[in-house]
Amino acid sequence: MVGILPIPNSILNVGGVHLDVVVSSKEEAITRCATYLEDMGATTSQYLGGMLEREGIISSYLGKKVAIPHGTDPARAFVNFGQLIFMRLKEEILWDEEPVALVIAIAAKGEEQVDVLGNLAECILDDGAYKILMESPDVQEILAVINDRKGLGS
Amino acid sequence: MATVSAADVKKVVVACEAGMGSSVMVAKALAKQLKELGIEVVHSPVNRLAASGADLVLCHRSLSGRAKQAVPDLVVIPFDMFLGDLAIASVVEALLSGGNIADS
Repeated sequence: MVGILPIPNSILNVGGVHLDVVVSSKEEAITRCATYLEDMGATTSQYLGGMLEREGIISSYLGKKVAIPHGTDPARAFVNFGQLIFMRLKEEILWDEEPVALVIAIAAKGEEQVDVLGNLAECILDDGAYKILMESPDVQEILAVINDRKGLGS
Repeated sequence: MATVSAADVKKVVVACEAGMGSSVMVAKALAKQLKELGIEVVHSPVNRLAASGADLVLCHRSLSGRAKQAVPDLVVIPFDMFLGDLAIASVVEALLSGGNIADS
């Protein structure tokens, strides 16, 4: 079979990747991610409130133009299944004074996101993998580096 | 103020509000750096810190007051950035080289 090869049961999958998204603010970015999560059935509409609340406590700006919005601990109640959203922006926005080009939104019930987030942390700190995250037009290449560490240095 | 000897640190806990995203990223990056020392690095929501079995706690500066309240006898190191923070780098350095680690 050629074409799309979905990675079974991965918390980050083709349905969660959105490239060239246009948003103008942090709030709009978070709301968009919440909509994507809800559209996939991963969360209920109440999860957005948890994401905004968490963001109000500490900015989810991570560094290197990446933000990782997610809900509060109690907001896990609004998660049906763990899912990540990879939302790359067409134009950078300011996220609490910091430029952001990539938004990784997290919905998790328990610990199901941990391994993939660990890979993601390594990808962000690896020059080659970071370039794939920020520039690749190929969704499968993006999924492969995050899920399978393909293209990730040492 | 609390102090811990690097040799006594077997478990580092990274605390955050939800324990879902930011602390996971920090813990994963840190675990890789501390792997050779056999130090376990886990993440936790700040309100579950007391039960985490930590020898040393790292958390975002905005939560360090709550973290210290939860585990007053432990060293709590605040950081400002989730990736590439100098306070975290100096903890790694201290753990690798030995000596004491203190909070303020």
